[in-house]
Amino acid sequence: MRTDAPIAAHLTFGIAAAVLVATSAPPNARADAPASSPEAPTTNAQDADVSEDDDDGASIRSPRTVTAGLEMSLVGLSFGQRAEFLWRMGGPGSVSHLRLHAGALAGPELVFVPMGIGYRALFREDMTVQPFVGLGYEAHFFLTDGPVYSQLASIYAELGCAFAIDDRFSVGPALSLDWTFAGERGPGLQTRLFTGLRF
Amino acid sequence: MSKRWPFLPLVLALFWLSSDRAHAHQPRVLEPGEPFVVEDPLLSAALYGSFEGGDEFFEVEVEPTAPLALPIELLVPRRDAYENHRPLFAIIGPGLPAPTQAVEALLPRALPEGAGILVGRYEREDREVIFESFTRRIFWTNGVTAFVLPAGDVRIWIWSPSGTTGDFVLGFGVEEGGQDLGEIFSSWGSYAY
Repeated sequence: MRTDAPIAAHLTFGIAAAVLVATSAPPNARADAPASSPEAPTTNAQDADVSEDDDDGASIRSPRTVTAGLEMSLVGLSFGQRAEFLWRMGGPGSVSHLRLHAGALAGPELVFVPMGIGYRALFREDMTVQPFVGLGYEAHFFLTDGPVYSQLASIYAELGCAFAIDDRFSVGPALSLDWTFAGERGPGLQTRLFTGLRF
Repeated sequence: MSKRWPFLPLVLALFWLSSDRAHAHQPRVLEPGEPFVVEDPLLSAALYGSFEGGDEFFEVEVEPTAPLALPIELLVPRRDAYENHRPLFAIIGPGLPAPTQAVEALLPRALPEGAGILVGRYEREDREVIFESFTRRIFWTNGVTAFVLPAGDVRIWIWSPSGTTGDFVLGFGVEEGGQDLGEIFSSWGSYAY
């Protein structure tokens, strides 16, 4: 199996560029503006974002988020992408999210394929700056054109911050540290720039 | 706080599970022309070096107080560019077999007076591939072999007989020791890439 890291980088930059173009539209979709306000016209799609209201009448965003990002693994040097699906658990205002994620990162010696499930606490969800921390389980696969190596039973901890562009889109950096405590033990460190979409 | 951190007990439990109870190789960097002195050959070590011009010579000094069986292997990062990079290592010391003509022709320099030699061979032509879990890297290995080092002044030579350039790692030892994180971070490029 041959891999080509630049292709992964091009894809990531392409997706990021498309998202940025999409978000360059006038920011009239802020759901905290009244839907009937002439200053804040909404479309059907924007209305769909406003799924629930809290006690103050402010909008509560959709519980679902997907992210994609360009990632670099610093232990086992490799570059590529990781995609995430986040599901807010609990009612409006809950910080708790279920996180499902998978990625593919290519390096000079191997292709790193992480897949995992975990918990993320995302704070200040209605604000522009949304820090988060998380923890969970990851399965690691290291592929070459010969043998395939796996490091199962890894635990990860993550730290990051999402910056909301509008109600649907966000961008930000994240850092995750992992440790394989069963199987072939060892540490891992990844850094990532992501773009998120609520839907 | 408990409402905001409903999973705090789980988080703490997972951190406890993940606590580092493991010790690994002592990684160090080899420089050509600067003999590396091994303080305790029983401690597992990984010595990283690189042939920039292909004619470098690396030397490791060991001084066992008694004959010592020591597993030794030579690793090369598994990259397309290193397909033909096959450095060799040899153990030089008193009481070891005298070199054959073929071995002498391989050596980068003359043996010291009275010293014998054991050359670490590649056990498989296609070279075994291993995964190193602490640095998450893939290496070719010549195959781990336990050599009996004599007591006294023993040297391990590493050179590139074909003049190929590229990285290598000399691994040896048995017992695992603690990590010097400061040294690891200061030489991160040598270990990680």
